[in-house]
Amino acid sequence: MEEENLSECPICLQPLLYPVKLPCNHRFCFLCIKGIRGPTQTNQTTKTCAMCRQPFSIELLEQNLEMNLDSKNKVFKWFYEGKTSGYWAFDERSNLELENAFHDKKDKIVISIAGFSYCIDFVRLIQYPINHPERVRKIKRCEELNTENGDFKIKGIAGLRVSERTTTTQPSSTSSSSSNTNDDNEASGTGLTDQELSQVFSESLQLK
Amino acid sequence: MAALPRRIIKETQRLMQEPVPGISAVPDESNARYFHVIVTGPEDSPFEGGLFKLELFLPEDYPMSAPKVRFITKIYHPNIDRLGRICLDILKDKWSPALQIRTVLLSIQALLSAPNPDDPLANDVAELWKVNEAEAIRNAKEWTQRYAMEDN
Repeated sequence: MEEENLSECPICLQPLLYPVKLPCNHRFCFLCIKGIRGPTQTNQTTKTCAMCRQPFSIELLEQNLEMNLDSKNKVFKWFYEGKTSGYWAFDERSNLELENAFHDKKDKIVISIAGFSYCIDFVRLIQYPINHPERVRKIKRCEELNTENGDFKIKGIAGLRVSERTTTTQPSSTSSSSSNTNDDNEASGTGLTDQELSQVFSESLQLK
Repeated sequence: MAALPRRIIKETQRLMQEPVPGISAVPDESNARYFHVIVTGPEDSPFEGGLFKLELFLPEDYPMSAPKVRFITKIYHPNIDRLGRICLDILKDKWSPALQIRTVLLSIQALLSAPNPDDPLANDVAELWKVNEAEAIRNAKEWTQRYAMEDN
């Protein structure tokens, strides 16, 4: 049998997105559990847990969000060290996996990025390809708002240099040189302006 | 038809990678929501040795609603009618979106091991199962031999 994966939603089988914990301790994506049908067509305010059938009130759902979606919109992003300087943001999907594993208090997880398996070590705050444990890079977790004024340079997302996005005629260095998204093609190594950063984040993080 | 949800893609991949013993479910070449299913009759049941064909269809709102499953192979069972329709609570009001193709087919296989004549769909079969279980089981074995053998 497949192993039980605590950071996977049992309804969509994806990493939990806006996780909700029901009174019975089962966890689902907010939208997945919100979408399940109630026991009758007329009474849709009470539903039953998809795992154990314990009834719950849908009014509880928003209160039981595990994430902090308060007015400050505290959203955390994960970054990994560039080869020679600065940091890359993880892509949005990997970020979600990391964030969920972090909340599950895991010591380490293995994630797959473009077919390569990377070990993310939350204790030592490093990552490395599982086939090349010597290729260690540091990782960081930062509140999104802080990264804009952060004390470290953010180069882009997963090897996609944000500053190159505006110059569409220039062939992308990420497309041909390597199939490994975590590869770091060092060019100028410039940091991002606040404006570029907010562009990155508004594209990747559109929270309601 | 809308794009195939990632859940269906993932379930299909896992079914192929880790098949359930005694059960095969293969998506149709032209419709990824339609599965050709074969369930082997459980040991120590009147259906032992039989290969039962079923069709399984994932409706538009799957997994929020249950898959539609039907026996194609004729079977003598109190909870399966002559059209192959199955009386099983998890396919109706007890459906949960955390159930999967895999768990549904395992439940159907379990239903073959444990017929429930008190909740019948095929009334004549259920009646005989209650008044003369030995004869009902004989009929079920005979139908298995006649309709559910590989060379049929």
